[in-house]
Amino acid sequence: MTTSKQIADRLELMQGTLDMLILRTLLLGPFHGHAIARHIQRTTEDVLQVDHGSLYPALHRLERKGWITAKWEMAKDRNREFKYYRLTPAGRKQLASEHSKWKLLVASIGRVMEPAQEN
Amino acid sequence: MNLWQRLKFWRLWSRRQAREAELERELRDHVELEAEEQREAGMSPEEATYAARRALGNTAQIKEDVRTAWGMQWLETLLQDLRYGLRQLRRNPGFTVVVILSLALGIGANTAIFTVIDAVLLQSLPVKNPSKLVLLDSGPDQGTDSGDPYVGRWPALSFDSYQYFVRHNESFQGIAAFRKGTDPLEVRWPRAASDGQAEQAVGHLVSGNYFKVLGVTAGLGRVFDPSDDVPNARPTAVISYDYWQRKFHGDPSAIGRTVDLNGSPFTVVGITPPEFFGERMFERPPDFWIPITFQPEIMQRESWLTRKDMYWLNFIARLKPGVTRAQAQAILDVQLRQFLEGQVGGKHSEGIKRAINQAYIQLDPGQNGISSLRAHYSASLRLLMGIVVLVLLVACANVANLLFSRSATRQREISMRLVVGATRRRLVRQMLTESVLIAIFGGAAGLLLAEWGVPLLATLLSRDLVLSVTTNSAVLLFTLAVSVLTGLVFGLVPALRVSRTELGEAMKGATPTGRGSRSAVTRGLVVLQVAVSLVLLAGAALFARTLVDLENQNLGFNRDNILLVQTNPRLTRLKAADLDSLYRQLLDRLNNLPGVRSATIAYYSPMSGHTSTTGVTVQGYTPHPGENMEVNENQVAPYYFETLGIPVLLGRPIGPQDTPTSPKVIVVNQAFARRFFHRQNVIGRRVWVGHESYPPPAEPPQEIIGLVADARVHNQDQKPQPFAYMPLSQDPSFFAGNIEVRTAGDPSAAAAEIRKAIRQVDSALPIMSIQTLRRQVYDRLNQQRLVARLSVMFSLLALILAAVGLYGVMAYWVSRRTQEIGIRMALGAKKSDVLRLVVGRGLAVTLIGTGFGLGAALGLTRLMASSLYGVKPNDPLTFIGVSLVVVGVALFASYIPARRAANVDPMVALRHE
Repeated sequence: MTTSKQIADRLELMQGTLDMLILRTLLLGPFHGHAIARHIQRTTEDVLQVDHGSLYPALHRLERKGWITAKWEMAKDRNREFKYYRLTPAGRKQLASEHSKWKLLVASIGRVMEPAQEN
Repeated sequence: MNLWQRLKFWRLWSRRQAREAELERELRDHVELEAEEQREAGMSPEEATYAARRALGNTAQIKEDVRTAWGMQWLETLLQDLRYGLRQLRRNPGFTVVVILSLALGIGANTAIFTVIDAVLLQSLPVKNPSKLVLLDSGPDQGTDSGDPYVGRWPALSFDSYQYFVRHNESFQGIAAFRKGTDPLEVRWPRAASDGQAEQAVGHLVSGNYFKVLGVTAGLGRVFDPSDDVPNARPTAVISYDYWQRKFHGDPSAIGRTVDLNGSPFTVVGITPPEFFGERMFERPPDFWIPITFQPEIMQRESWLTRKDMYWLNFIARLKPGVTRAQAQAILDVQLRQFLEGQVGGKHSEGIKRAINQAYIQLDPGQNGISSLRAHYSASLRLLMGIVVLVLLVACANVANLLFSRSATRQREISMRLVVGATRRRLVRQMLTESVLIAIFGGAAGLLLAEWGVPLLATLLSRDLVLSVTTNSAVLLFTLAVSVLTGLVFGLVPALRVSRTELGEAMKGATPTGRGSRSAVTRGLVVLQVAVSLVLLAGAALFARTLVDLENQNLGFNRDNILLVQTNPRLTRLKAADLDSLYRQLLDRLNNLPGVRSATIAYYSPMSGHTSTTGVTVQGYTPHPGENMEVNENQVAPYYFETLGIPVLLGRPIGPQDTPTSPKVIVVNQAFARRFFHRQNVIGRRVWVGHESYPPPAEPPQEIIGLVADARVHNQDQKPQPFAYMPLSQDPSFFAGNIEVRTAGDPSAAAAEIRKAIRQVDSALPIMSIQTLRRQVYDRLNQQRLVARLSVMFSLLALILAAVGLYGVMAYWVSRRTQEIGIRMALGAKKSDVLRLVVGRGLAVTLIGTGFGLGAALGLTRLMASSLYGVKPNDPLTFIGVSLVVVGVALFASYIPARRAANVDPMVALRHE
């Protein structure tokens, strides 16, 4: 059972951020849903907890917007098919735009939070 | 749904099923992979699977969210809500029945009236592209006119003006002429077809291009072409599909047969398609179409084709593509004036020039054809539509109230659903889906009711209705729209209430929240119901009193014991000179029948709806410039006044001594005397009938020999008009066919005897109809009767619905206060106190509603002043009467729950909690 201590260490993902993280992950190549969640968690050293419940609705939403496509493909390491998602050119563009927006946001917040570094 | 849409729908659906399966598999894979990972981290297989499932969370919720992402969610939700709604309805059958019945009555009334409106006012002619058709005049037939050209609107054409328009046609693909009105035909088929016996049929004179302009092709054989309608053409006729079925049972050998129509042979060349009935809606459609060139043969008159002063043709024309009705009209206006100038010749006075410039043509849309019903009934039908909408409003209020009290009992269920995570929006949507579902059931039941009510309505509208008024797609669409709208209206209040549900409070106990606002809303709805019912009752009472007044109107003649026989001497091939002897023989014969008091003949029969006027010049009366000198006229045989019971006040009535050779005489009524002689003696005064110009013409005038009392022979509600009665024998141009017989006993019983007597005088004289004068007078008020009956019926329906509403509210109030009443009784309140308490409450609501209703009714009934007769729109007696009825019904409706409250056993009530 997850304890309350562990919950406190982890951060809830902001709405919309998950989409960007999924797109960024898929930049590395095709992944299935579980692998995407695992990749985000591992990369952030388990700080960002991907709620599995919201992962799949997000994937289907991105697919409907045409930013990613899905295909049932044979896994390399085992003899069965998984649903693999991959980035479309439109998704690549969307990622770029969200990335720059995110950078601007982080920089702006940073200036407010740590004004000393400005000088 | 057409095939393509259906395919698309199923493709969508099957794709949907596949997607569901994929999602299921994807989520299963996820759990498996996650479990595998956990096992590698050292968990036992069971633990691992459990942990993986928990990490994923509620799969049902995820699926729901994914489906939302797919965007097909609304359909799913709708189906779910519908299933849920159906379950709710099944669970409360009593509630369901009451609600659906209320709505069925409300919606059914709307559908029924709309069906008739659709048929009478909205339906198009069943011809090719009817929206491109225009008519010279789409109003009911006013008959033919002779004399000077019209000043102002031209509602009819002479044959040569029609030809002028055809020659100079610019705007139309074709202009077809047809006679205004139809002609009675006496039909004789040779040999076996009808044993040589004559039969009655309806004929219509049309131009050779008539069918082509309408775009109607023959069902069998051929329709006319222009070569059928030229001088010396072979006489041809087209028969209607109905007539063909009646007469020949669909035998194609009918084509090519020769038939005798009013004494001349015609060859049947074709049969119209089944759906075609001419350009006239809701009148007896023609059995025969005959080219207008045969007008003299069919009408048994001199030729009207050569008469420039006879206006007897209407036309229907098809606009060229891109030409509007207004453009065509403007061109026709110019052409009409050119035509008139050509007729007058080069030199003409200022007056004639002005008259020509005032003449114009106003084209009517042709797509609905000609309908006298439309002109007569459109105001009444609109009024009835307004009434049924109000009835539906009352029904809506009722259902809203029922739903409202049910939503109170469903409070716990709703709170529970809110707690488990349903959004308020979702719940409101669900409540609305439920109420629309209820309304659609109500609408379906209403359609059934309308199905039963419409034929009834249709027969009330017109006794010889030929076209069936049917439920078509427009009616179905209307009903559906009304149902959905109704559902939204009555569902809105309870649904919004859901959105205000306080979670914590609702979960705590059974007591619904917001009691104060709840009873305010329900009482408000009852006030509305009472007020609307009162308005409807007041309107209905005024209509009913108008009808009673008109029915009991003293008409100035005695309508009892008179039989009216309609014949047509034109069809006997008698010459005008022979008419006088025919009349004499008929009167001799009929007046000597044992059961007959007296018999007479007239050109118009009383209250038949037919009348004519004529200009007069009166000796010693100088008209003001521009004064209308038209008076009503009728040509009557001897014994007319005696037979009808119109008192002769001075002088003598028209009698057998007035012959074609005796001095010309005239009898006038009191209104005539008042207008032209100012109560001076009228006997012996002279009148030139048919001449309006002053000074009088050179020919000898008619002498007034008698003064008779005023009689209303045209309309019950019209003031007596100046009237001139002339002897039938003194004007041979009138082929009078209306025989009036006063009998000693029941007139209907004498019908066979009278028919036989007429046959014996001249077996060729056709008898078109026989009915009593009482019936004819009665039929004259059909429209008022229809409006009065329906408005009374609908307002009573509204009152019953309002009473049910009040009863429901009071019963609910009593049930909620059982405990309080118990305490009061335990503390010494008597049964009568409790009765007074409850009834008083109901009465208070009713009185407020009555107050509002009276105010609204006073404002609204003023609008119907023109439809009232003998009663003022704010008639105090009517208003007091309907208020008493409303209050009485309300007392009864609240007395039932009050008695239940009074019978509460205090001990039981107190133990209740």
